[in-house]
Order: sequence, then C-alpha cells, then structure tokens
Amino acid sequence: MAIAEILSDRTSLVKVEHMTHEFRSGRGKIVACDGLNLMVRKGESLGLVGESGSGKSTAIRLMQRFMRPSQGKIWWQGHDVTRWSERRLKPYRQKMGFVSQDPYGSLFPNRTILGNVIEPLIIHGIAEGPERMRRAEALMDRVGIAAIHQQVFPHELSGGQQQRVAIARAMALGPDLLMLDEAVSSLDVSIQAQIINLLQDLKADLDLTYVFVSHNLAVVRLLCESVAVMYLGRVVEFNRTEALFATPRHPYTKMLIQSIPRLTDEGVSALPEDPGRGLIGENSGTGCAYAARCPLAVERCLAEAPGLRQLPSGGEVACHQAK
Amino acid sequence: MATSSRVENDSAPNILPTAKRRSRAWRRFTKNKLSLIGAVFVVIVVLTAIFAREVAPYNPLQANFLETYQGPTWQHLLGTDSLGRDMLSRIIYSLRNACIVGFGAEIVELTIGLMLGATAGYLGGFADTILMRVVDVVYGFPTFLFAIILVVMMGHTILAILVAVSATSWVGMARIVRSQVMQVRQSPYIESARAMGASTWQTVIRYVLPNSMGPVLVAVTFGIPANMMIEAALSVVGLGIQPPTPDLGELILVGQSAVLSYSYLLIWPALLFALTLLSFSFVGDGLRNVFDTKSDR
Repeated sequence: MAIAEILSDRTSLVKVEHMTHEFRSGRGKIVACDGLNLMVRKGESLGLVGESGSGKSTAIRLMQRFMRPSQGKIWWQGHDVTRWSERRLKPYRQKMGFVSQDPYGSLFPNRTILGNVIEPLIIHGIAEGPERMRRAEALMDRVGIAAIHQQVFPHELSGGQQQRVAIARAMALGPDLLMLDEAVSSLDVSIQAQIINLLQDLKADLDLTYVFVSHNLAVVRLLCESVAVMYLGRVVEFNRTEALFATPRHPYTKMLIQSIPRLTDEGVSALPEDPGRGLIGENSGTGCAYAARCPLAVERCLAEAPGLRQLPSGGEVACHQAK
Repeated sequence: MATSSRVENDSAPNILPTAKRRSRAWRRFTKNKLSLIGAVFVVIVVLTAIFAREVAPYNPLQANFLETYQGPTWQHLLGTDSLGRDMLSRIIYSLRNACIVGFGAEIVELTIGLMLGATAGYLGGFADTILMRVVDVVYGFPTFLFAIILVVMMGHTILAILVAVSATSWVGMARIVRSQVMQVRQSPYIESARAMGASTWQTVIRYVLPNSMGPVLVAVTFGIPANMMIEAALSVVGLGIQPPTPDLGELILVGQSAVLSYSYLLIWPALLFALTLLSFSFVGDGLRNVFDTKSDR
C-alpha cells in the first residue's frame, strides 16, 4: 500500500489533501473549499464542475499556490509545496500553465501578442533574442495565430484569438499540466468549439494533462478523463467521465446533467426545474449542504454530513441515499 | 495543420499597421487643438531655456545706464529695465530656473511617489497602513511655509529651492500611484504573471507600473507648473534665486512695482508665465484624452 502510494505520487502532478480555504469578510467567514482531496495524474485530465460559488475557481487557484490554503496540504510532483516561498515554486511553475477565464484581461495590455508569448521565456531566462522569437512564433503557429496578428496589441484581437494567445503563452515553458479556469466560458459558442478543438489537439499531440474548471458539463466531457462535481466547497461526486455521465449517483450531479439543454427532433426539451423542495432542518449547519435542494433528502441528511465514500461500481459519492 | 484552417472562422479584427496605431494616440491627443498648441508652446519654452545662451540677444546681467526704461525698440524688443538690462534676455534666462525647478522637482516627486506608492499599493496591509500614515502627516504640512523654512535653512541656492519645492508635493504623486497600483494589482494579467513564476519585483516593474502610468503622467503635467508657481512665489517673497540672476517671480515683482509708469515690465513676464502654466494644463488635458480609453477600447 505504502509503496503503491509512493509510486502513484510520482505520476501525480498535483495532489491536494484536506485542502480547506476560508475567506474572511466583514460578515463572517466563507468556506470556499472544504476538505478537498484531489489528485491529478499525468495523462488523466481532471474536470471540476459546479455552479457559481461552489469553490471550483478557488480550488484551481489553491492548486497553483496563488494563495495558501487555511488547512490541508498541496503536493506538486511529490513535493509538499504548501508552505514554499514563491522563489522555490518558480522552477515548478514552468511545468504548469494557466489560462484564465478572461482572455482579454489576462494578457499584458502593454505588450504585443508576440511580446505576451515571449514574456514567460524572459521571466525564466530561457533562450535568447532570435531563439526566443523563433519559439514564440512556433507557438503562435501551433495555436493558429497568423503572423500579421503577432505585432498587434491584445485589445485589437477578437476574444477567440485572445484565448489562443493566452493558451500559447501558457504553453511557452513547455508545461505538462495546463490549468484552465472557465477557459471557454466567455466565448461565443462557435468560438468555444474552435478552442475546445485546439485544446483536444494540443492534449493529444503534446501529451498534456488538464485541470479544467467549468460550469459546462459538456465541455468537461470532451476534455477530461475524470470529473469531480463540487457543491458548496465540497466534492460531492468523483468518477471517470464516461461513468459519471452514464450513471450519475449524486442527486446534484443528476440535476446538472439533466439541465444540459438538448436539441432533438421534437424541438428543445424542457429543462427540469430545480425541485428546491428538500428538507430544511433547524440545525442545517451540520447536515448535508445539498439537503435543502435534494429530492431524496431524509432525516439523516440533516443530522449527518455525508463523506465521500467509495461505491462498489467505482467512483466516489458523498450522499447517504446514493447507491 | 488542422488548427490553422479553422482560424479563418475567427472574426477578423481590424488590424492596423504599427504606424497607424501610434497615430491613434496622437489623434486622441490632438482632438483638442489647445493640447497641441500647449505642447508646442511647452516645447518652445523648454528649448529656449536650454539654449538661452544662444537665443538671448544680450547678456541678461549687463547693465547699460544709457538705456534704462526703454520701451520696446528694435534693439530691445521687449525694452529694458531700470538698470538698462535687456528684458527679452532676462525673460529668456529666467525660464531656466523655472524649468530646472519645475522639471527637477517633478522628477524627485515622481521618484519618491513611485517608490512609496507602488510599495504601499502592491503590498497592501501593514506596509500600506504605515506608508499612507506618513503620507497623511506630510500632507498636513503647509507646502509653502515648509518650503520657506527649508530655503531659509539651506540657503538660496537652486538646489535648496528644488528640495524645498519637492519636499511636500510628492505626497499627491504617492497617492495617485498607490490608487493606480491597487487597481492594476487586481487585473487578471497579474495573476497570469504569478502563474508564470514572475517575482514580486518583476511583476511590479514589468506589469504593474507600466500599466499604471496613464494618470501618473497626467499628474506630472499638472505638477510641473505647480512647482514653477512655488518657485516663482518664493522669489516674490525674496527667498528664491537671488538677484541679479533673472527669475520670473522676481521679474513680475519688479514689474508690478513699476506698473503705472512702465507697464511692459510687468506685462511680458506675467504673460509668459501665465501662458506657460496654461500650456502645461492643456497638455495634461490632452494626455488625459489619450489615456481615457474607456471611450473606445
């Protein structure tokens, strides 16, 4: 067991243990992430899905150590980096690219497109003058930005092109892992498809692994081998992508999957409304967070918070009622 | 490659050649014609100050007792003063002090303001609290009174005046830089910089400060004339550059004492001073138009 764990650590790019993060504000504290346990292995992309406020963006930021978790540990390639200084993290950041939700805002407005892609090479002191240019141009070519667009500034490009540039920049240091935070959410649907195709191509060609945060299950399904469904800071269901879509166990996952709009021959199927008629107990702080919306809720759900448990059919689910 | 064939679907943005893009800033600047006129005037003033020796027709200190209080003539375009010194030459040389103090003090203010403002704004928290309390304290000093005290203590040299003028006026700059940096720090691209492993120093120097510069530059163009004003005012109360070195404040002071009989002694230096200050304001307005990108992205 111990040896197996060490071996699995070696292939794990990022691992988090009991990761908890609280934001303190004037009105009290908000628990954005509550005891997350996740592992990203090489070649096994992870999708994080959930509604707004479920803590998925916080989770991906913690995984990149943009902030320190209130509790728990973060491992990169087998190293516990929870308390590491930025200086120590720097070489490891080469292996980890980040693409944010806002393509325009994430590009340096004072640099040209080419300048943006060269920037990580400068920060890490990799390659020199003409070699840098060559590498950046190769990346641009790879993501499909034409040469005439390379000398312009980010605001002169369309959203889709901006996101291509952001992806090229994230890949400039040759990472194994790309962290994508809602990377296609702000784009038009047709452009989304282009970016997803690009990401699929890159994944296959360069052996990349993704951590993909999204509220869009369909996108995650296309890009990730496994999916973690988050609800109010906790993982409520974790499974391989095919299994999760074929047989969702948690009532929240079921609801999410049902709420994907479908176009059929009969027209657009009506979306199920969130029942929202669960049980609301007096001590709702202790029980399952989803109980208030859950159609399956029983008394036990109010008294006792379900932990993630292994199902015989594979996958993990945090629900007393799920089988 | 498979990906490049799909690119054509992206809506093509209007790509401008570099030269045209530069001219967009220029077009915004010149949208207000006064900004252009102001800029031209400022450039003339600065060049005149630098090349005062070449431009001035006479030695500004050379008295000529045969030609006192001459009105404008072909020999002396702006006339002569009570000692027969050429007014045009004196005004030209007086621009030197105005420019040295105006620009020099602004450089000092900018340096201090950038360092303190960026530190406070980027680090936030405790460092911010301490630095901003220091700024609050200095803000409470009466600028002019403090300048007078400093000049009295340090002597009437140009260096003392420069220090006196910049001693308290950096606080405004520090506040502007801080608020800009606090705003830019929130931008998604700062997070991108962290993701690629940029150190705090690299982040501030490469991304935060360059993207905070707009309002700072506007503040600089308003700060320079403010410094010139203090410098001239020090002269008026007799604490500026010592005569006989010409100085705009001193020229105006002398001019107004003779305004009833020899009004040109007041009119020319006062007019030039007013126009210089006004030009800087117009340039500042123009720059504001350039950096106010909200109107078109």
